[in-house]
Amino acid sequence: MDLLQVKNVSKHVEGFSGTRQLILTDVNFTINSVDSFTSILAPYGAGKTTLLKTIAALEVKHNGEIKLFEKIYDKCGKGIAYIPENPSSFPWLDVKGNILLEQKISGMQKTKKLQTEHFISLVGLSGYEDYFPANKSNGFRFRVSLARALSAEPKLILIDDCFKKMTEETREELYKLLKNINEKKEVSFLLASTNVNEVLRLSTKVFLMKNNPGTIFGTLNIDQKEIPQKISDYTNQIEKLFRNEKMLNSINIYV
Amino acid sequence: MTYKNSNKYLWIYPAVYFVLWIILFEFIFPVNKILPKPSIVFDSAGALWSDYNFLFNLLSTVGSVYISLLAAYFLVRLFLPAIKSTNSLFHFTLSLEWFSHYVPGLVLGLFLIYWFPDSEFIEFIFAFCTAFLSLVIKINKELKTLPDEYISSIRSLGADELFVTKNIVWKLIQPELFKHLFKLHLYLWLILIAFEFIKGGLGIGVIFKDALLYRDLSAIFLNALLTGVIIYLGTLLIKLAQKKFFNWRLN
Repeated sequence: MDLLQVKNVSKHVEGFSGTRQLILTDVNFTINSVDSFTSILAPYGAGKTTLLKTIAALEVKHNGEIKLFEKIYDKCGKGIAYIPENPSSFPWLDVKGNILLEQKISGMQKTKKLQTEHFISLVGLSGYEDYFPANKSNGFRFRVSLARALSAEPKLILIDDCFKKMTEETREELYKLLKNINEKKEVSFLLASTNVNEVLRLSTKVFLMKNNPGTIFGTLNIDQKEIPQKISDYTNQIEKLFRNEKMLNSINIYV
Repeated sequence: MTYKNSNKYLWIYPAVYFVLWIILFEFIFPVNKILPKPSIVFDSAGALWSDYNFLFNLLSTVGSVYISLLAAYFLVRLFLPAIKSTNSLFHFTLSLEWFSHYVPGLVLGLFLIYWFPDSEFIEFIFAFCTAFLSLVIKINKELKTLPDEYISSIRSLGADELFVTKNIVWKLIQPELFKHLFKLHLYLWLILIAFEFIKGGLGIGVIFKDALLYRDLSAIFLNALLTGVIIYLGTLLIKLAQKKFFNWRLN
């Protein structure tokens, strides 16, 4: 059974002047397994955020079908968690409070409450339970958001280009963390990114997306055993595919 | 010394003015019609307390300002889901905001004084309406610029609209709401003093009115000085509440 099916998804937004702008058109892709790491590589303004929000059912007005385990859904909280581009851990709550908030939504089950420590340790924040994320780094705040998302026990976590404002060192740590969680837990990740290096380091499958309007125009399977040795070969392939679409300059390529 | 650090030393200014006032008007210009002689002002404290009934008048104004401010704050918290979702309420407050740009709030006070000239309670109603509407208008503005990331992330976990409004939106608007509370606090003091001045009855504004009638410069000065101190203490109290309960900033 496929984890996620996105079929012919199109989306318009209405401008202030009443004009309708097509943001996404005929977006089609499938995520097969429940423990995969998939990425969408696209230039800025291609509609990555809109697509992720549509998949998360945060934006419900769209054409086409989106199915999770073969079932169409139109409400949030049905097994998909969304981590936005900007830090989303709540500054008025400490690390523990941020995670417990999810449990407040789901009804404060005692068994789940005990797992808070487990999620905190999973994202590498043991010892920081009482810290407030307000003045912490983007990496710290991402870990809190990730722990909160994991505590909801979703099948799919959508990550919206979170790493671009982080230092190289923080990125490396988080790449390792995500891979580790992906291996340990039965949870899939769908990352939207503008960074070729990032998607190659993390994913087993990359969907290439172009803009005006946003649509998926290619797919690339990556054997993670060949990374980082063959990272240049994959980059060349991606370059070629984007060149064919006359969009090479829009993508941030550095290896 | 950086500009930020210099805020710590702002108390120096009133202290300097106070000392200057004593030096200038006690020793250099003891007889003048600009400001009263400090020793006369200190002597008139007893008269302000007994003749002008300072305590009751002060309690009346302080009660109206702070009870209405607290009531308005807790009521907007209670009605936040309605403020956020009710379109007609939104348009109603928008229209009031439009009026407030051109018609001073005190005009509403004049009508209230005309309709209920003998009611002491009307001052509180006036203060509450001013505070409540001001907070609703501010909240409406803030709702338009809420950072989406906090709301999207929690909604994706299954939080419904009411949960988001009560637990997230309310917290998100606090930093700006508190900034507004400082301004509103001062505005309420000014508008209530004017209201009391016009209406009569009880209040700090009534002391100003009586002192003006008696041409009592010392009473006017001391009343202004004490009112300033009370407003300053009120500001400190709001700052304390902000530090204790909302000591964080958004991104």
